[in-house]
Order: sequence, then C-alpha cells, then structure tokens
Amino acid sequence: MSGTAVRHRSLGEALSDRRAELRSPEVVMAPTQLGAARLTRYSFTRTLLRRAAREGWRSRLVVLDMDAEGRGHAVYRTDIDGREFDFVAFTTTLDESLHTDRVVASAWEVSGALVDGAVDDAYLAELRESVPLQESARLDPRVLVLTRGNRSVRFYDYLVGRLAGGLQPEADKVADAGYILRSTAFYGNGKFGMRSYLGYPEGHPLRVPYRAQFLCAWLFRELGYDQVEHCARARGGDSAARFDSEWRRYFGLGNATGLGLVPYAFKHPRVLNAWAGVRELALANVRALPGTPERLIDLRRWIGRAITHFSALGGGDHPPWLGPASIAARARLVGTRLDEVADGPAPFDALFRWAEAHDVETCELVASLLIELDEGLDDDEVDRLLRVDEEVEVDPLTTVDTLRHLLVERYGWLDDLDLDAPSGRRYWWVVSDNNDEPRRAERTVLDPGHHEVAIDMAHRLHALRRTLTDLPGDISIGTLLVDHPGHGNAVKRLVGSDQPYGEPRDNACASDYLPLELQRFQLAMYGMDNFSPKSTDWLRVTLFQGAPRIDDLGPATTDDWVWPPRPTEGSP
Amino acid sequence: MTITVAPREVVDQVHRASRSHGCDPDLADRLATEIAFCEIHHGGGIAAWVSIVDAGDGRLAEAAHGPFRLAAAEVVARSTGSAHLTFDPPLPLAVIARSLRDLQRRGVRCTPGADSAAGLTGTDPVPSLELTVGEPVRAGTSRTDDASEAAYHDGLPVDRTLWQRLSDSAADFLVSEAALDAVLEPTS
Repeated sequence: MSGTAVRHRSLGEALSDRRAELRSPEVVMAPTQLGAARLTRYSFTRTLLRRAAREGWRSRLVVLDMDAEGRGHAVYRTDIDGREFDFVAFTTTLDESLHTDRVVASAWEVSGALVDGAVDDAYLAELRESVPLQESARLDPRVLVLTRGNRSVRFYDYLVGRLAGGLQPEADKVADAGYILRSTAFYGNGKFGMRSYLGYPEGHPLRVPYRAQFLCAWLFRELGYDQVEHCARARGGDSAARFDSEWRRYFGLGNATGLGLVPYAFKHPRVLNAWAGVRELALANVRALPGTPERLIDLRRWIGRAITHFSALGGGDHPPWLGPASIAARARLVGTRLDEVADGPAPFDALFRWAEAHDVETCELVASLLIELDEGLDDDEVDRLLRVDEEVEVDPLTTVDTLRHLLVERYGWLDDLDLDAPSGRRYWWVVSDNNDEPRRAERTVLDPGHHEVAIDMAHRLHALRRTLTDLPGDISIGTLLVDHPGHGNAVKRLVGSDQPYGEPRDNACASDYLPLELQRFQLAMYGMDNFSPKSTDWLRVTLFQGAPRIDDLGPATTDDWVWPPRPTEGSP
Repeated sequence: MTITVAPREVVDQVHRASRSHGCDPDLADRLATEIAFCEIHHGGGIAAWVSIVDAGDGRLAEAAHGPFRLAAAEVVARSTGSAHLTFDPPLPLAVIARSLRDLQRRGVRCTPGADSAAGLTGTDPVPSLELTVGEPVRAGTSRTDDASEAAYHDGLPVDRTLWQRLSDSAADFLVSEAALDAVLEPTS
C-alpha cells in the first residue's frame, strides 16, 4: 500500500484480496479482543461529523420553549443540501428516585425524535402525545429515530448553579463526568412504525447505517448545553454565564447500554463483518506505511492526546477493563516504544507487533491510534462498505458435503467452546414484556418453554454438524431440511458465512459468557468511549465528548476532537 | 380500519406469535419471512396467519413446513425436469409466497407461480404445484422491487383487528418483567 486510496468493488473483495495483510478472524473476533475495542476515525460519530463539516450541513436551534426548571420542548433543525431534519425534544423533571438507566424505566426527563422534514405545529402536537410514550408509542414513517434520557443527577443542578452565579464549573468537581444528559436508546429502522432503514431512498443524506441515530445523538448532546444555560439564565438573570470556550465542547452525551446489543450482534454477522472489516483494512493500510516525519509527529500528537485525556480523568480500573489511569500509563508506554522503532523501515507495523505481544487493551489502543493516520480509505468508500446486504439465498441443491466442508473451513473454533458441557447451556435468552428488554436467565431457575430467543448460533451450528456426520455427502439441503427444518437457520448462517469477521467466537449461553465484551465492541464502533461497566451485563459510556457544537460546524471544522483535554480551573 | 406498520414489525410479530403457537425458531423465522413478503406483494399475509391459527392446534407448525417441502420438490424438479407437490389440506399462498418468487429466480417455473400469484391474495388456497425447469427470471431481491420500496418508505397499511390478533399472540412470547425480576439480576 502506498497510502493512496484504493477503491474496492465490495467489502468482500477487499477483505479477500488483502487477506494476508489483515489480522486473522481468530484474533479479531476473540471475545477478549472484541472487549478491548476502542473508537477509531471510522467510528460513526467521527464519520458523521466529517461529512457534516465537508458538505456544509447546518444545524440550528429553532425553538426552545421551557420554564425555569427546563420543562418544555426544543426543536433543532438541520439543513442538509436543501432537506430539513428536525430533532424534537420534550423535557420534564423527575424525582431523583425515578432516575434509572434501565430500558424498562417508565418515565424520562428527555424524550426526543428525529423527523425527516420540518415539524409544523400540528405535527408537534402529535409528537408531544406519542414521543414521551417511547416503546408504547405508534409513530409514522416521517420519524427516523426515537430516543430518551435523563439529566445527570450529580451534575445538572451543579452546572446550572455555577452558570447562574456567573461562574464556570470547577474542573475537579465535574471533569470526570463527561456529560450533562445520559441517553439509553436510539430506536430506528421501522420500530414502532418509524421509517425502515431500507426505505431511505437513493441519495438520502442519512442513508448510511446509524447516521440518523448519531445525528440524533449529536443534537441530543446539544440540548444538554442549551437546557443548562437556559435554566442558569432563568435563575441568575443577566449575570448568568454561558459555558466558556474550554467547557463548551467538553461535555459529550452519556449513554447506558444493556443486553439489547448482544442479540443484535449474534443475528447480524454481515454487519459485524463490515464494522470490523473496515477497521482491519484501515489498520493494514497504516501498518504498511513508511514513517515519514509528518506521520510520526501526527501519531505522537495522538498519543499525547490520549495521555492527557485519560490522565486527567484518572481513576482505577473498571474490571474486566483498564481504567483511565492505566490506559494513560499504557499510552505512555506506546509513546516510548514508538521512539524506539521510529527510525525503522516500517515503524507502525513494528509498533503494532509490539502491542499485539503486550495485552489486548494496549493492542486495541494502538490500533485506534494508528488508524488516525489512515489515508487509504475515504469516507465515501467507508459509507459504501458499511451498507451490507443481509439477505442470504440458500440453493436447495447445495449438498451435505459442501456444508461439511464449510463447517471445517469456517467453524473449527466451535470445538474450543465446550458446547456439550452443562456449563455450555447454563443461560438462555429471553425478552421481557416490559419495553422488550432482552435478558438472560439460568435454565435451572426459569424454564425457557417457547420463550427462548434463538441467538445460540454456536449450539445450532454444532447440532447441524452432528446431524451431518451420518448423512451421505450427496444429499441436498432441500431434502435434508424437510426432515430437519430445525436446522434451517444454521444452514442459512453457514451458507452465508462468506465473510471473515461475522462471528463472535463465543457462546452466548455459556456460564462464563461475558456480554460486556460484545457490547464494548459495538459501542466502540459507534464512537463511544469511557467504558464504565456496572455489572457483567451493562455499562455506561460517553459519546461526542469534545466534538464540535452545532455553531462550530463548518468547512474549517477539524476531526481531532476526541479525547479532549480537561478544562483548567473554573472562574473564581 | 387499517394501521400502518413497518415491514420489520410484521416479521418480528409473526415470528413471536408463531413461537407462541408452537413453532420452533427456524419454522417461525421462515413463516415470518414468507408472511411479510406476502403482505407487501399480495396482501392477506396476516389474514392467512390468523386463519391457520384458527384452523386448530398444530396447524401452524404443519403449514410452516410448506416452504421446506417446496424446496425439496425443487431439488426433484432440477434433477428430473419436473415435480408435482400436493398440499393436503391446501396451504394459503402466504406461507409460500416468497419461496415461489425465489424459485422463479432460480429458473424453476411453478403453476400457480409467482406470475399467476399476482392476482391472488395471501389467504387463497394452494392445493398443489407443478414445477418445471425453465430460464431464471431476474426479479429484484425482496428489498428492491417497487412494492418493497414503498412499504419500507411509507409503511404498510394492514387490518387493525388482524394486527391486534397477531400482536396479542406475539405478546405471549415475552416473559413478564415481574417473573424475570423475581429470579434475575436487574440489568439495563
């Protein structure tokens, strides 16, 4: 690779052509590796804002109608090449006892929707009735995304109080928070009657996976700033301050994430393959680059940002992961190692090989840092590579021999999972009747009956393999499935497994299964950071911390906003 | 009275409702795909699902085998040039609507087939099929034809009463939060 962009017809072709340069699926899709992933310049928050800046998207606050406590509504309008999108947020206050991160909460301080088009008064009145209902709402295809969240219990009132008194926040009081509002879900793609993703027509500016959700999230973050400043003005009058230049970008949006991501990941192998595949292509591009002075300076700058950001956050480890202080220490080691290899012929490859031998957190931190240097993928290509066709057509004439060959070639890793042991089936997955929240239950405690969500792909492929063992090789799938329709999904999965990074090498039903690992991978691909696990099953993160505000967006907007430095001490 | 729903809601609800009526996940997935396709292209998909459930216990799982039987007949047709398939009792078109389209794309002509089914609705019974090998028809995928694009963009109007029947059955797939909270750690 010379570092110049090479366009591929498809992701599959790109991954196949460059297989020798890429990390193996055994490494990339190992649970602990997935559970160490970090955001990259191709994460969705980053690609959204680069495109928005490049194409001149314009967002503005058109309505903020709230009382002194911040109860009311706000509308943000984004103009994209002549099309308007409104983010409508309805706000209220809740007693602190009603604050919860759980999806099953029944009330939220903020509920919002991203709408394709400008919202008039009549539609606003409709949305005011439906949007706060969240999962109980019936929406229509004008709505692209539905979301909700709460204020930070610790910091919202503090921030209002400081600004109302004409003061800036005190860094040591709030800088570890990273957010003002904390979201919990960004529903889209046909849920509750909203527009299906496949219904975004050709040329639609949000016709890229998750682009609508992250536009919505970026505006949700903006709301937090505007709400705090509004409440501060209401309390402090003319003497109230606004966030100064150090603080006005520092806060991101919080997010609490639960088990819902896990079934999604197991059900969408081609999506996972695209996310990981783009990252691996970018990493391979950079590892092949020579170490020019400009690139080395750039990488040292990024390492420095990481050290500064994570040092300032501080704090101990968050088992099973490293905490900010440890990550900062790892980043210092990375900087030292870079100095040692900088004069070699392939310093970035040397740095990565060192990181691989170190530990998974260091390895993925270095992957993230290196990808900042990538010149081989442009944003248009990334958007295109992320649009995957998930349909798998199974030809009934495919033979048992072919299936057996595919199982040997692609699913040998099943043997490492101890699927026949009782511990391999300890859990089953279920959906709660409250807001469709996925949960996992122990078989010995709760009988699955007909309620089991079939994300046990490892078991299903294992069972298919057993059935195939005793069958003649020339039997066709069409004949096989008449007698064994219960293997239908496994056969489809196998036939469609022509991508390297589609399968997490894990068993979601095992007693030692750790949902956090797959959750972190997905959140990192979204562009989230500051992973703070609260149990084995859910965690808190931040996104858009340091990102441009809506007023900042323009052709001069740069992409180096992640890992912002902690603001200095506030005004006296 | 109609209600506008997204195609994925039809898939999700048919899957869950079929699980509640005794289908294993693989059968329920296949039914959901066929019924949603039918609802988009012919109408009557959900009505057909309800009619099968009303026909009695076990009838849904039996009907869900229809696409698998059709695939086996396709194997015979492509090996020998033709095949005959009988459904007794007759299957509603909705259960095999998508499979008929897929057959056509692989060059297997059916009578009645995807062409003649254009005038049918999902509840119309299909007592038998004649399969003959012909030329593949490059129809769009299930997501790129005009009917699908309209459904994904504008939603799909379906009968409100039937939708409620389907949704009520789908709700039985879920487990009550109280039961889960009693035995599980809370999560987000």
